[in-house]
Amino acid sequence: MKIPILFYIMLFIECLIAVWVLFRWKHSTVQLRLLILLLVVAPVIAIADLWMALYGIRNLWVTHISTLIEYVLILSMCYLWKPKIIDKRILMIGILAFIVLWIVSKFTFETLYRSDIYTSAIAKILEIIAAALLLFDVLGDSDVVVKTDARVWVSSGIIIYSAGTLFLFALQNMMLDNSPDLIKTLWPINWILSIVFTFLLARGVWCRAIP
Amino acid sequence: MSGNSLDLLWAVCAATAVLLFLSISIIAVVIYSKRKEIAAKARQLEELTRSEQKYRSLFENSLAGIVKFSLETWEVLDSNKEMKQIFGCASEQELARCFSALPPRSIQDIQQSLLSSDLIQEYEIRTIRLDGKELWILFSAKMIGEEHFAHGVVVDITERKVSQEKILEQAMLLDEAQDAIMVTDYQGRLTFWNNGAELIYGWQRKQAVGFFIKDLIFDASHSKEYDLAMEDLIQFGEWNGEQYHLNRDEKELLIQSRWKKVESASTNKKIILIVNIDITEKKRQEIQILRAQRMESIALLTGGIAHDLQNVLAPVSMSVSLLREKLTDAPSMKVLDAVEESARSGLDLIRNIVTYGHGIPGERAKIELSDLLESILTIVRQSLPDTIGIEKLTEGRKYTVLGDANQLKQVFLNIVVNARDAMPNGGMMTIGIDQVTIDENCLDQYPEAQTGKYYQVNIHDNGSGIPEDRIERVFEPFFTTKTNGNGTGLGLSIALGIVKSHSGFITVDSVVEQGTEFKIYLPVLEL
Repeated sequence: MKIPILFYIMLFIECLIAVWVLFRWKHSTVQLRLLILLLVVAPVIAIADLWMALYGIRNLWVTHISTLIEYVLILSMCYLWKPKIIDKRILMIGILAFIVLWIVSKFTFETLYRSDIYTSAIAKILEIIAAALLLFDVLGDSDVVVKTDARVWVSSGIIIYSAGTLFLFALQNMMLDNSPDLIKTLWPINWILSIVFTFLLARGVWCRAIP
Repeated sequence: MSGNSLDLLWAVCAATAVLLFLSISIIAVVIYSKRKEIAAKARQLEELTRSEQKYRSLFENSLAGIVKFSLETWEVLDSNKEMKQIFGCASEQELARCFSALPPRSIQDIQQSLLSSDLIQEYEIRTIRLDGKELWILFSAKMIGEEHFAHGVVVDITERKVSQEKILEQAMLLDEAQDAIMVTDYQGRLTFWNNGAELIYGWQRKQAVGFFIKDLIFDASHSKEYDLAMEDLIQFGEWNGEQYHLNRDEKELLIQSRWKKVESASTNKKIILIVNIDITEKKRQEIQILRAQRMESIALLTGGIAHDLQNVLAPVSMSVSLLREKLTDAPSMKVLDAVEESARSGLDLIRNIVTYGHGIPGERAKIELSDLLESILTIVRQSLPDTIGIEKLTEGRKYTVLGDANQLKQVFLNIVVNARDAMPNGGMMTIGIDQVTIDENCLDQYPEAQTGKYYQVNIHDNGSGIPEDRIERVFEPFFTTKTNGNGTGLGLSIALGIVKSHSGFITVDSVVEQGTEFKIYLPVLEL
């Protein structure tokens, strides 16, 4: 099985950044620790995906779990950053509802043997909404300095990555049914956006160091 | 790839591109607007910082003390350098101590005023500095936006207060002075009028201040004295002298006045300081003393001359008796009669002079003055023309004195006759008796008197009066205001001699064309 070089580049960058952000764990806030977790989980899942693919083990379920983990981490981060109780409650409901939906989907319309087109699409839409709201919070916060605020980088990364990969994940079954080469042609978009996403999140972690 | 696959590829790519474009655009817009806002905010902050620096500089370098304090806890939150300097403090802690040491009553007033009207202005507080020295401050404060906090402005007025107290003290001293102290501007408008001036002139301070001194106390006939004094003052810077002023009752006062030009140090304004002493009474006493001394000298002189003349005339009188025995013819007897008559007249005249000089001892007996005056008036009425009326004002009581009735009769007769002569065209003569008490205070007015009770016999006429320049001399022997030959000039001097020998005294007041009043004072006989 031939793995494109772009995947390795992405994996290398993600690993490098995961190692670097782990050093910042001790001095980070809870929100940033969730961000660090997200940055660490991403290469772990990628490596697991790669290893299982190389050894011919079914790895679709890993993608399902990674969707859930990413969703929970991102919305939890937003939950912690949101100052208003009502926003927090909505986000909490969003997290719990998605978990329920995810569990239900695995036993009904979206088993682990097929791509998670529905849950991942819903997850990405909800992530975009949560990140956009976070970004507007930043806009309303008069004390924010854009460059030094982690929320700006994190929410930008989430919006760009989720918006850029929404159709890719939502239509992957259709593409697989139509032509498997289509996936191979389009999937590098996911890796490129993953690299961008990783850099933007890492920049968010870097903000911690700036007073 | 089939045609469907290609379509799907393009569809996914296009949708992804659109979504990416939208999301990146949104992010860009958000970041751009945020940056713009931040830039605007930074500018505002910069302006605010500059403004704050400016006000901080004003706050720190203000010549007044500025303090931010809590109204509830009376705690100092911020203060400037001057504030600490006013209280003599080096640190905020020391200032807080001094600030808490303000009088509780003042703190309460400030708190109440700030709570009710958000403002307190120029409230004077007497307190102490850190070193224990007295401190007077002028405190103004205003509530600021924050709840129960206020900004106070403090001005040190200790020096001003001390000066004010000194000025008040000096003003009180000026008011204590018996002399009239007044201040005028260069136009002569009164700006200060002390209690002494009120007493001397009768005008209250509020009635006098603002008026021209020339109009207030100078009579029209003496206004030239004011002009001359002003000329001297302008030329030499000061003036001293005597002036005639008028008091509120238009009574003429003789004033010893001292004028001095003073330049006000604070305003560079030129003012005139005037110190006036009322010497009317003093002058009158001086005149009385001088008169008494002159009378004394004249009495001494005339007494000596009279004694010598008596010695000269005594042999003449005695020789006449001897010559009558030798010269018995009619012509000689006629000559001797003439000589004897002349000698007797001369001796009578001498006796009168001696009476003036030393008084006549005579016999002393109880005399009812009322009866005595009645007997005199009986005689006088017969000799008075119809044009002169006599009114006797007595209370129908007894006025007993110890004296010689004949001598006192002569006194009253002399004065009554003088009164008659002063009214050639008729008039009214009033005779009355009063009882008066001469005490220590009156001795200045009547230097010849002694303390005690006196009967005062007033003989008043509304005749021609005696000119002021002559009134002092009426008791001098041989001085008369009557035309030549109508008087000897001894009547009043003899009257004075007799009254003096009765331990009494005589005063006279006269106004030309209005009349004359003689007052004969005789000691009351205490029964």
